[in-house]
Amino acid sequence: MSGSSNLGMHVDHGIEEDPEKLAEFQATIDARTLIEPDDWMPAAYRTGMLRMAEHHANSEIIGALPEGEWITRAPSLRRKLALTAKVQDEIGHGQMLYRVSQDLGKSRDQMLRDLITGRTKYHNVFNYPAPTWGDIAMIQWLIDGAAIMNQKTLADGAYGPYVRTMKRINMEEAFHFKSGEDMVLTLMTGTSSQRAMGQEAFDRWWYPSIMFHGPPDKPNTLQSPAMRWRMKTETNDSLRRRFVNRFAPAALDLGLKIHVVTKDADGMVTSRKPDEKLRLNPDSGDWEFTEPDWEEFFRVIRGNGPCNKKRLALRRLSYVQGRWVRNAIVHGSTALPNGGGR
Amino acid sequence: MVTTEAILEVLRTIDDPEMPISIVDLGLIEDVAIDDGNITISVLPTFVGCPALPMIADDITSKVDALAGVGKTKVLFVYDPPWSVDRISGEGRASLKSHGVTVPAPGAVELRTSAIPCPFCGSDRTTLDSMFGPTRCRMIYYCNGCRNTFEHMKKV
Repeated sequence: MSGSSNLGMHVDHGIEEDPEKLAEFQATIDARTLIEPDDWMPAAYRTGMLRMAEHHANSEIIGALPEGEWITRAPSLRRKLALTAKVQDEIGHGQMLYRVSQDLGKSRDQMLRDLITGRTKYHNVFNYPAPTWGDIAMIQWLIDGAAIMNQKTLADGAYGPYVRTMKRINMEEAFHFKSGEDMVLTLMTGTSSQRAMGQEAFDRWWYPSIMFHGPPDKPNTLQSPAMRWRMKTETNDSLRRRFVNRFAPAALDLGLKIHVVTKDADGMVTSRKPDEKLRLNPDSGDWEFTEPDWEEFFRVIRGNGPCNKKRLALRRLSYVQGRWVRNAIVHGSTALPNGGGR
Repeated sequence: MVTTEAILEVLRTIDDPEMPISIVDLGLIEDVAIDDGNITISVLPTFVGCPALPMIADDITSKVDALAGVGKTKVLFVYDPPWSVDRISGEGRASLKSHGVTVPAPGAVELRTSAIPCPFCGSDRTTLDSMFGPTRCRMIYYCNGCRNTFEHMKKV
């Protein structure tokens, strides 16, 4: 799951780079030759790519948490099997992306510590709750669907190890997305209570999924170093447009209603009304919709969303509980917790 | 009358849902039986806990059903002989390699200390990063030569 597009792509211009090397670097990227770890790269590119790959890795492992909670409660053995595999899959993606990040100059332990202390972020979308099985279906359909769109553009980027990893990840995400579609279809062709569960979960996830691709573009986005250096290859607004064009009609076809909602502090819907702006504009061919509440987006990203504390607390617990294993492997120290009584 | 070859041709267009390889090249197809237009296809699951099996079965039934002269198509999962990585075809191996997934050589005995050559640069300077890769059937390796991660299929 995940993707990195809600990450502010600030590139540090404070460092003077050799103009000749910089021009050569740009020419390499323009010729669509991949940049390899040992190649020269501007400091701002290195820190930008590191931040992106690290954010992506963080998102993979935090993204597994809401789904992990549902393994024991999956409605059938088949769904349970698929969910365990999906969680393993995301942790595996996280491992590979941490490795890509390490080669850009930061130790894995530092990355894990920065994540639990809140110095680095993970994708905002995982700060929302998944109170029912319907939420798991919607995450796997809408959020994985959004992630694939984003990651396909990232697989067309310039940094070799990230691009190669992304290509493998994308095939696996496509599989999750198909399973997600199947889960949503099962709910929406089921009993009236199953359909209601699907609709309520959709109401919770539609706006987070629209916000998935990050805040609206700034006027100079296309000229930004992130685009010029192919760290990103498509803007947030363009990705969002494609997302809504694909998923709004798909949701309507499934019998879902698209609502504008208000939510309480726990992320639960307190009121909903039909999105009156929703329509296919025949001239542009694009779907029009009510803009998300961007204030909410920034409030959640600053740490005040429904699940920020819960997600980080679980990650912190797992970091602390795994410490003796890391010590044993890295330092050869075999002191077990609780005096060795395990 | 539909032929085994025609059915295999259709099966060659069905890829594993998570890798760029057809289910025929992956060695999943054990037998195709035709009985008066009704087809029974025996499929060997790779890993018993593989979550892709229902999707593969659905893909097979819908595509084979669409062939002219086919009555009913049935997919039968069989566990004997057990699937092995040795069943993966040469063409399949090449395709997986360019995707960054390596497969143990047929009949190879692999120890934890065995060098697994990097699919990207061929270097032997690779290390096992994790026994548990993104899927049940794969492990994560890292190449100290070109500094890429790749995945290696578990020897079964």
